[in-house]
Amino acid sequence: MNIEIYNLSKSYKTTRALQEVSFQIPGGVFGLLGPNGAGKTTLMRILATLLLPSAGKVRVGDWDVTRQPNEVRRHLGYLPQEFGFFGNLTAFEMLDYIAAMKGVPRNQRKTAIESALVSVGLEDRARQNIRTYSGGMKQRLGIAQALLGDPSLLIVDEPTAGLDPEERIRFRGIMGQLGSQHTVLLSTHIVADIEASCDRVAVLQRGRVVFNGTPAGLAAIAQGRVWDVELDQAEWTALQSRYHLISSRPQNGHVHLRLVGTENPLGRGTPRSPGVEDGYVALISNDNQFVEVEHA
Amino acid sequence: MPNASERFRTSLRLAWRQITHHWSYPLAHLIVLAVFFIALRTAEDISAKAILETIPGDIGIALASLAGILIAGASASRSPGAKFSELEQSFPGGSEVILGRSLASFLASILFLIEPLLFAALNGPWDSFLSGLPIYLAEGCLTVALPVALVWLLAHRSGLPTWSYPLLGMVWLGFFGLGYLTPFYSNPAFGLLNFMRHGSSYYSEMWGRLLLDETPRWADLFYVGLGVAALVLLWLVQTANRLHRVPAAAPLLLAASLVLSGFSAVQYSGITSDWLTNHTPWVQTIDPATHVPRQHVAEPYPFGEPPAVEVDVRNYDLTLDFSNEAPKFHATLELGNDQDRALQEFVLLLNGRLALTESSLPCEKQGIWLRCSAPEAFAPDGTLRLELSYEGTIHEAGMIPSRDWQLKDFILPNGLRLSPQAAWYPIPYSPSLEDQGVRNDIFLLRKPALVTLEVIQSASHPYRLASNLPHVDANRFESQGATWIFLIGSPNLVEEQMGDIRLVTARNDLEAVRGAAERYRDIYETYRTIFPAVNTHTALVMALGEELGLPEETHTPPTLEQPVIISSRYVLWSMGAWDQSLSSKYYLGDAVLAEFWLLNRATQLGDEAWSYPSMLWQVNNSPVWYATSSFLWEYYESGGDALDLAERINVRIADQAGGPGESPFSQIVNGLLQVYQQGGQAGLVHAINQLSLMSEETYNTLYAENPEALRQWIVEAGDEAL
Ligand SMILES: Nc1ncnc2c1ncn2[C@@H]1O[C@H](COP(=O)(O)OP(=O)(O)OP(=O)(O)O)[C@@H](O)[C@H]1O
Ligand SMILES: [Mg+2]
Repeated sequence: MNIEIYNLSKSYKTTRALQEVSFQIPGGVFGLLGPNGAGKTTLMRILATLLLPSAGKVRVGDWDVTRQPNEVRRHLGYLPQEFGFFGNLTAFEMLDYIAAMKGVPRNQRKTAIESALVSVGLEDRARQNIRTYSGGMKQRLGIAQALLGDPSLLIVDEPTAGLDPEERIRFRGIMGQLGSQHTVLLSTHIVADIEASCDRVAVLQRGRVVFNGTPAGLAAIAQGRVWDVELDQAEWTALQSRYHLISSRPQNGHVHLRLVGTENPLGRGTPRSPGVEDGYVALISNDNQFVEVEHA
Repeated sequence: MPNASERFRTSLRLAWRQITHHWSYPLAHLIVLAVFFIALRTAEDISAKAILETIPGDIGIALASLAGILIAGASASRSPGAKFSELEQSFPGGSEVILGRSLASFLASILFLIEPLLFAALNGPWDSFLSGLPIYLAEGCLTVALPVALVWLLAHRSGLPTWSYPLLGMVWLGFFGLGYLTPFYSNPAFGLLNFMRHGSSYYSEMWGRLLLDETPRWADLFYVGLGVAALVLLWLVQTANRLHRVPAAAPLLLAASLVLSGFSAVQYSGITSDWLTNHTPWVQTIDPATHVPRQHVAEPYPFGEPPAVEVDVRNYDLTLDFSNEAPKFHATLELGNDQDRALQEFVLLLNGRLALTESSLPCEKQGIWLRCSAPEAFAPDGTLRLELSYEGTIHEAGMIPSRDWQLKDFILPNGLRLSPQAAWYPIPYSPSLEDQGVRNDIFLLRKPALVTLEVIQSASHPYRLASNLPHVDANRFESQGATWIFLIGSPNLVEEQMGDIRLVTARNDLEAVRGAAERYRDIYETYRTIFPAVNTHTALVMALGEELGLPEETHTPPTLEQPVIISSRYVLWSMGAWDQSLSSKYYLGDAVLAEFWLLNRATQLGDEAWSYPSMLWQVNNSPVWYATSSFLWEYYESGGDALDLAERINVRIADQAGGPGESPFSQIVNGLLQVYQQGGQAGLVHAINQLSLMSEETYNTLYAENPEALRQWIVEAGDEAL
């Protein structure tokens, strides 16, 4: 399913959360990256018909989210960033209710619920009250409910927050599967998730799209600017303002650093081929001077 | 739309389960059950329908609507509170989920009507319960639906904080209390604000609730309108939020329901304020100088100078014909001229709603005033025959203290109540009485008239009739002398002969007032031996719901044939065999004695005995009457035992304000005691007979300042018997 976003803006009372955002999601798994407060959730809630835009247009498939919200909802699986369930219901009862809301025919509900539960590994706890679930289990149940009704568009807002590594890997598997037939829009802070599952990625910053392309394209932003270097504390303090730190590891009195910056640090750095995270950091840290982005 | 209806049903089912499976729900039912079966047990004496129609039923509805507020608040807050709403807003659908959940709140709330219904059903009788059930359910549902819909409207977006529940409950119950605050209940339009069912009249087992005209219907429609408006608004708001469009029908429906509500409110207050301004035939003013309340005809006399003289009616021949749609009346009057000059015209009073259709003399009627001209001079001591035909219905309201306005006099398909105050028969207008400031009795005849009263019943709605006049047959009453005419009819009316007492009451009240009637019988039998000159065999006791519009309420004058005692069922319930309080003396003893006292005077003094206001003085204000009534009450209580009587009399004297001194009270009762001790019952009969014939003037000039002389006089009167 194709998603088209034109000049989308959204203002809250005092904040301009989205400013003239335009891009397209042709299908597959699309990642949304951005620092806290960049407007990812705002964008996703607009796509999920929960929020009306202040200006601009959004089409999901053949439908306009503002004018035909119910058509969009019929094809939508949504996992909000923050949500909850009725604690006094079991996971099965809760999913049964949600399946009915999504219009899953009565005779197909049981199978649909069971397969959703299996895909998030909750089949054994399905008859327990949700009140007794851990945070990660609730998150998995949230993913399960989004899968109900076989949605052709899946919008998941930080779906892997709170998941243990094993579950995170299982989740990437689900995304990979879904991405082959459906459109998935995924927001995250975990760049590894993007690398693992996304065909395309956009980066939002202060309500604007600062990058839209492939994960490889995002990585390429840092081409020739990623360095591994060993420095002592005094040297690092002197250089700090001109570089962005990706990682640091102390080593016999020195620190072993991975940095992003235009010049080779003190001429002692070893150039490295950039990853998505390096590209993202390079992009974000450039602030306003880096606006020309690669458009697909 | 199949998905929408599935969503509606599923949401309803889940919300229902979440409400009713919570521990607090059965607990709340237990509390309501306890309220009824522990706190309201005193209501046991009334019928099932009466329970539903009066305070217990109202409390049931109030509790159900209170439960509705809490349930709706909790149910509406559940999804936002659990942050599930963030999820569920992404599901397809319009307002059906919210409407399904609201319906679940409503259904769970109206189940709280089960307790009052159970309470009423167990109280019985069964047919009374069944006849009360539909209205109770309908009004209960209406009343509960409104707060449930309002709370949903308030809370469905973001839920309610916990602290707001008690506040909402208090606001809601505050509306109920409003109707009971003085500035509000005195303006009947505020009855509408009593959200715990409109209007609160007394419930009568005879006629049910006597609410004004169409006010119940308008009040119900007012609530229907508000309820539908709240529901439509919920639908509209939710659809607008969800689908970003307004359903085309919604604004129309909203406007229509608000118009219905507003229109009904206007009709309701129109009816009630109409009563306040237009339909009160009599007004009472308090003379600022003397503080004496005076009653006047409310409408000013429309034909020039009001008349200075009056006629009297010697003979009434009245026919009420209910065989047609509109009641028809026919009255043949024989008028007498007591004045010392010939009359050219005379004035009668006849209810303003009645229209004159024929008259044998030239008459004109405007409002309550009916002026007729005598064909030739109506000579002193002459008589004149007047035939009148009139039609229309009777519809009078009265305000019961601390309650709403209610119907007082009426002709309805299922019964009638016609008190003399309604002027449903032509009553001679008496300017002199208006001047004398007589209280409720402006409509009483100066002299007893011979009355025949015949009722032609409607074939489709026949019912039993009763009157202060003696029965001749089921539909006919006659008296050789009556100063007022009271007629009631109802399918629920029963008459029971209990020895010398004929008890008239409503079927469902019979059991409860029998005990009091038996005491009337005992008192009547004792007092009759004191007044052998009075030739009566049966006393009429009417145990009714309310006494509005009757002369002097507790001491209604007798007819020549029989004492007439009209008493309130509420009073009589507590006056069964056991009540020893002074109210027994007042409601039972004094009521019987007043009748004998007046009849005794009438037998010996003729028409003079009925003249006002001396009659009023005789059985209300006279110290002679008061002391005699206390003496006779103790005489009755002691069973004639002279020693016991003496002891009781001493206690009575000691109880009197001012102590045992030389007050008229102690002189009279001691005199009577002395007479009884010396001359037995024969002496007592003679002395009391003499006392009852004493005029106000005699008392004031000879004995008021010299009670010792009165005692002397009593003892001498007793001696004469020997
Ligand atoms: N309901 C709201 N009212 C006012 N401002 C809001 C509201 N929701 C979000 N904002 C503001 O809009 C901006 C974008 O917020 P949004 O939640 O879309 O960011 P985000 O990219 O999802 O951040 P995070 O990574 O922390 O989830 C922020 O500045 C936030 O403070
Ligand atoms: Mg967010």
